[in-house]
Amino acid sequence: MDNVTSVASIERDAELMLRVRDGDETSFALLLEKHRNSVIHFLYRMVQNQAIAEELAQEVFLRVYRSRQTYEPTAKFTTWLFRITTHLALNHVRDRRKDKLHDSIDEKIEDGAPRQLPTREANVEERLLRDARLGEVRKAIEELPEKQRGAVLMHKYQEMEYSQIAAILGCSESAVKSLLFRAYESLRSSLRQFSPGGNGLKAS
Amino acid sequence: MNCILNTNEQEELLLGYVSAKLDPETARTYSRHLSSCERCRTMVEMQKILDESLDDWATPTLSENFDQKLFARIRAEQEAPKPWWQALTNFNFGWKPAIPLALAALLLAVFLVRGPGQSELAQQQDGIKADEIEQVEKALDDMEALHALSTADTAPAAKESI
Repeated sequence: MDNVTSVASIERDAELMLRVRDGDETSFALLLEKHRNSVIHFLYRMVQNQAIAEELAQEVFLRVYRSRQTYEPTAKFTTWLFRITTHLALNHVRDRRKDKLHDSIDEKIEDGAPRQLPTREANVEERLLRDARLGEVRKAIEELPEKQRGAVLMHKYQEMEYSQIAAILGCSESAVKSLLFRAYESLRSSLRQFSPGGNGLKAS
Repeated sequence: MNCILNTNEQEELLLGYVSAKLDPETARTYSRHLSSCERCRTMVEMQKILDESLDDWATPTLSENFDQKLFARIRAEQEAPKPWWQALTNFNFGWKPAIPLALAALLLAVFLVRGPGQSELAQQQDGIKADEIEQVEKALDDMEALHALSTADTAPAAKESI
C-alpha cells in the first residue's frame, strides 16, 4: 500500500525534510521517490485524468520544496504532504465545476489509464461485468462532492485513519466519519444494479 | 426485523468488518447480528462489491520524465532573478526576537533625533514672530495717534495768528 505507517518511517520522513531544509537535495529526491506514487495515484483518482494529475503532482512537490525553509515537523510528514495535495486537488475540482468543463467519463478513460482488470483469470463475461461496475463507480466518485471524494480515496487507497483524514481536511473526526459514510452510501447505491438480486449489467 | 444499530454504528461496523479491521470480539458480535439482520447483510454484500470494484481501479504508469521535469522546474526557479520584495520577505533572521527590538530601537532613534525639543522650539519661534508683528502694528498705531494729536494742537494756534 502507499501509506507510511511505522513510527520509524514517519521519523525518517521528517528527518529527510529537515535535511532538505538545510539544503540537501538528495534527501528531497528520496522523499520524492518514496511518496511520488501515492500522491499521483490519489490525484489521478481525484481528477481522473493522467496529464492533469501529473501536473498537479509537480505543483505539490514544487510547493514542498519551496516550503522547505519553513517546514517544522509538528505533524506527520504524510499529513502535511496530503494537506498540500488535497488542497490543490479540491481547488482543481472546484474550478472545473465552476468552468463547467466536464468531459464524459468515456473520454477521460481514454485520456487516462486503460481500465485494468484483475490479474487472476476471468472469463469474458466476468471481465465485462467488472469493467461495467468499475465504470459506474468511477462515474459515481466523480459525482461525489469534492471533500467526500477526497475522504473516500484517502480512506480506501492510502488507508488513513479518520484522525489523519480530519487533520488533512481541517475538520473533526466526526465530520470525516459523516463525509465517509455518506460517500460510501452513495457509491453502494450506484452499484445497486449489480447486487446479487439486481439485473447485472445495465442495458445502455 | 428492524436493525438495532443507528446509521453511524452500522456504517462504522460495516467498513471495519469488510476491511477486517474489527477486533475479533466485535467481529463475532457483528457476524451474529448479520445472521439476523437482512438490511445489514445487504449493506455488507454491496460494500464488498464496491471494494472489489475500487480494487480493480488501476492507475496509469507515471511519465518517464516526471522527476526530470520537476528538477528542471526547481532549477529554473532557483536561477530566476528574485524580485527585491521577495528577498526582503525571504530574509532569514537568525534570532527572530531581534526584529521587534531592532524596530523599536530605530523608532527610538528617530524620536530622539527629531525629538519633541525641536518642535517646541519651532512653536516658540512661531510665537515670537507673531509677537513681533503685533508689536510693530501697535507702534504704528501709536505713531499715527501722536501725529493726529500734534496736528490738532497746531491748528488753533494757526487760526489765532491769522
